[in-house]
Amino acid sequence: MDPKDHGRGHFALGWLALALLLVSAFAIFRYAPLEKVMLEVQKIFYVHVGVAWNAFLAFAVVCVASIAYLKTKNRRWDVLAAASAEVGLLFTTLVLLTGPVWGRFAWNTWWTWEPRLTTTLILWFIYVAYFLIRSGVAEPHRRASLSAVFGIIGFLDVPIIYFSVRLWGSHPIVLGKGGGGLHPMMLQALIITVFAYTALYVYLTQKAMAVERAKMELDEIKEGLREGAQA
Amino acid sequence: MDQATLDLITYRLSYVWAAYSVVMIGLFVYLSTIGRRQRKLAQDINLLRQAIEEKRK
Amino acid sequence: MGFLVKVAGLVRKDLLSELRTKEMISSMLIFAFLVIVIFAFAFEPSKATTKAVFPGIIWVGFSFAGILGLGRSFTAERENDCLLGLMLAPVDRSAIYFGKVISNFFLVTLMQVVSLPVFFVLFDYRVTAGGIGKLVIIMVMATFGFMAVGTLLAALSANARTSEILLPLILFPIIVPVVIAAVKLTAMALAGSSWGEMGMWLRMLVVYDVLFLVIPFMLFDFVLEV
Repeated sequence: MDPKDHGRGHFALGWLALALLLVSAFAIFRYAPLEKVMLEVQKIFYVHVGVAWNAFLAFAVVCVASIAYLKTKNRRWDVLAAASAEVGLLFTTLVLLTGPVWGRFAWNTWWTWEPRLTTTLILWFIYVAYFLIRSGVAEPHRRASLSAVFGIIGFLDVPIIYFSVRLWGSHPIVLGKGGGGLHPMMLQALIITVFAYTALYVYLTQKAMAVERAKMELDEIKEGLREGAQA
Repeated sequence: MDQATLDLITYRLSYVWAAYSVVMIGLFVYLSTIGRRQRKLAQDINLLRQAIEEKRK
Repeated sequence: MGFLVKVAGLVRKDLLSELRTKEMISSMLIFAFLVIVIFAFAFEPSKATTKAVFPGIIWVGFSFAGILGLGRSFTAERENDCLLGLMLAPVDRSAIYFGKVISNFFLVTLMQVVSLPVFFVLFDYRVTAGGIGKLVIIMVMATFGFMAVGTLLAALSANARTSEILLPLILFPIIVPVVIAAVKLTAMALAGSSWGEMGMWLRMLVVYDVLFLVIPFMLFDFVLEV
């Protein structure tokens, strides 16, 4: 299989993601009104939430693909889980980088142990652990099974982590981060941004899947050579 | 609009600029690493295939 | 032979081999003592601020020592292909899981029971009998959740090349809720809070314990398969 083969609709999806990103940029900077307290800085909120939403979506996909892999033992599910985790790790990193920029202005501190930010940090550690498991096991089927088990455990842990961090911190919980209710036009801009980043998530996951499939093929060729040498 | 207000707006926009450029740089770096990995894998696969073909002959 | 008898047999085997080698319990105990000494140097034991972070110190010691023991529980089975022997034994895989959870729980609890008084004495921390009673129940609940998910992840990391360093890295993010709950509950118990005030935390711990006993039980098969 050609490593550049991304499956159906990949090219069109790329353009769709780009178009949606441009529309969302317009909606964020031209269409949505200026927020009264945070003023221009509130514009960070859109990209922050858009990426964060997809970071969690990516992990849900990892969990579902992991369950499907353990049920069917079809390597395609493992490829999906690994690719989704990779994009999820990227998005989680971006959430952790944009969060402090917001916090520096809003709360005058780079980091607060706010429940959602803290949960995202732990999620980041769980994603990293997922890849440590993948890199620590050489045999493909065993690697797929073990990382699938961890993907399921890790995902189920996230709501409990969120709940415990909320219970733990007496820190202010900033609902919606825009402060209370969101202006309808802000909400529309937010929805468009979330969709744009979801399209981007699917696009990037397809790319990562192509890389994973190529790795798989390389493994198979090498395996074939080894068997040929032994025969 | 006087100079002070303009300075304040620039100050606030610098935060927006920082957040959005972090996201864009992150995405760009990821896309380029994917591209690099794809090229490397394609190269490796082709190399191995050729080696196998030559062995058969 | 009933399921419980099989589990009991596996627990007996683990505890017997531990009784003969004492390698898990001794290393956990020494480690816990070392943590106490290090913390005593790092934070002046007589200061009031140290009293405030005392519950945290206890649980840092317990979780690090516990992970040390957990890591050993499956890597020890790799010697002489014991793990293969276990898997070939005519028992359900879930019996192996429950057996390991119980024996790990027993050993880690033993470590805690021995080292807890040392924590109190060396940090000169005064506590009422009621507080100790509550603390013991909290310790049992937290340690159970820790061992339930820890046993699965220990079995998982035993399959990897880098099992010793892998286990803490994959286990700590997962047990974050247990550690938070244990530290909070310990602080509340030592401060003399009633069970009612701890309600939310206790419920969270129960949910965690049940969830991470049932899910690993269902997934354990996949960790051990060859």
